[in-house]
Amino acid sequence: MDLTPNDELKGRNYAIVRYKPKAANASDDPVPDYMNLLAMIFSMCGLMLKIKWCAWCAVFCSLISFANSRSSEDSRQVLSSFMLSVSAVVMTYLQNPAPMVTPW
Amino acid sequence: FLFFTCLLIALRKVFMFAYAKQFYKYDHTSLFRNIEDNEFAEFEDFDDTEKQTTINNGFVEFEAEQVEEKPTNEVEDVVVETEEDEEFESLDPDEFEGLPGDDTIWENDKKVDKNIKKKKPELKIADVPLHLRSWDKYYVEILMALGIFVYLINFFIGKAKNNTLASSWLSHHLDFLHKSFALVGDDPQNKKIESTNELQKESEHVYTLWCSGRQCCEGMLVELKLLKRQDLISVIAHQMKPINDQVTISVKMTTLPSLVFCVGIKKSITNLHKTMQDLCLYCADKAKMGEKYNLPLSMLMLSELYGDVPAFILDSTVVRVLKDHQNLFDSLHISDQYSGAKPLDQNDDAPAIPETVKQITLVINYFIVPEKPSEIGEMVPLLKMLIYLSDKLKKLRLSRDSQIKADKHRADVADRYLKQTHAQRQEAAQQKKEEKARALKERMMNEEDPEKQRRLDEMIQRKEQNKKNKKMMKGRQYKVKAM
Repeated sequence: MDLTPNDELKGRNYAIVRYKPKAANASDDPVPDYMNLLAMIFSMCGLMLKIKWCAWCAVFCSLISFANSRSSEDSRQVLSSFMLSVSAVVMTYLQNPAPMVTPW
Repeated sequence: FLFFTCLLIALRKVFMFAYAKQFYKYDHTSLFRNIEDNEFAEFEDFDDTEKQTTINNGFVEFEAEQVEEKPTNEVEDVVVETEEDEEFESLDPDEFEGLPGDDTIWENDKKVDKNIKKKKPELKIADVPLHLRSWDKYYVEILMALGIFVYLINFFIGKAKNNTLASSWLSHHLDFLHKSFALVGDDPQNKKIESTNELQKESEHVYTLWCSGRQCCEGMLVELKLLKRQDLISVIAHQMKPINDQVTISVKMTTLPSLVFCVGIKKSITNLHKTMQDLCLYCADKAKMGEKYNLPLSMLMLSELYGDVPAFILDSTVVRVLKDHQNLFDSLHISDQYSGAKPLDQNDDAPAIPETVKQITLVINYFIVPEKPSEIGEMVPLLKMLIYLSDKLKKLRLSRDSQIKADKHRADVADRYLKQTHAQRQEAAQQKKEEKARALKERMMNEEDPEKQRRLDEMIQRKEQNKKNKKMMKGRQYKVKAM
């Protein structure tokens, strides 16, 4: 049977239904939400406790959250998280300009 | 001779200062100076020779601490020179200030080293913090910045790759979609109903396309679930555990017979059987091989009704397409009770009856080989097969037995949900009754008119009495039945 349809198969009585985007479920892909939360926690630790590696981790987490974010989500939250992490890095180095000490 | 001796003394002093500078820092020379000054201060009224000896002794002490070899020579020199100094003790050192090579400066009757004054501007340089002297101490920070840079580069490259793949898929399938549907691509924000002919970007790795305008079909949703090439962490994870890009095409039907059927590769079928709610409820039997219907050995089949339904669906055309595109085909799920995946929270006390839709879902594995773009074109027959099936299924008429069996299944499932929610509904009804009675009592208490209050009270008493009577009657009925 020829699978190529023609105009007859389309049928004259058809109804056009508009697209209803399904609500973005957090359970579909929880990565951007978790990374956003981690970025905020690391930023706070970096700012309050003046831990440099926390501030750098916050920058990475916010970048990962941004890369995995959905288009339907508000970009302001991701942007604010990124700015917070950058400010954490800047503040820790202003307070203590010495290089980061590695454990090895 | 006197002149030469004085010159020798001055030169010795110069030599001693220079020698001291080689080994000691400013602090030490200042210490030496302090000691010298103290020596001067202490023995101010004494003769020069004694001063010299003390100075020389000071020298000896310093050198004894720092240098082991030199002191012996110095001591000998000191001994010699003190003897010389004794001869010329009458000489006043003040007479020899400003001699060439003499770096001493007098300030407030105290000797100040000229070089020290010269060094003062240099001290400022010495105050420069250690960490700003060399950038190589910041290697961790440089590595972090490099990591961010690499991540960003990967983001843009991955985003572009995914975009290219999505566009390529659309370009291969657009012609067929235009022939099959009146509306290809819909922007929900646009009030006008017009085809966008474009994929909608849900995220950097998920693209969707909605098509509508076909008989017996509400619409078709195409979801391109690509790999997260824009995320470096995901790219590394994919290298360790490879997964495929997938294309999920779901056709929402307006009319579909009462059937639940699924065919696909073994891994997908076992996964779907565990996760999909309708397959769990209606296909209790284990998945079967499709040898009877000439399906490849790598494929399994699940069906609610094993009589005429699989034979109707798996006709020669469908089987041929599935065999020819085994590498791309993942699963085909046809159900009139489709409600998605099972909820993760299994301990929910009141699981609501899920909303069901009539849907045919086709999942295609999108094998991406950049050097062979024609593989995308090989997916078109699978889409054509799906449309063919959607048209064929509306003509399916189940046999009487199959229809009865299917209806019985659905009724059983509905009863099960009702039983599960029965206790919950009972409790809710009880709570409502209690609330009504409480509201009535409050009204009675708040009533100012005693006559009305009395009437309300009587009404409440009558109701409670009726309830008690009813309970007693029921109890008697049970007793009679038991007897």
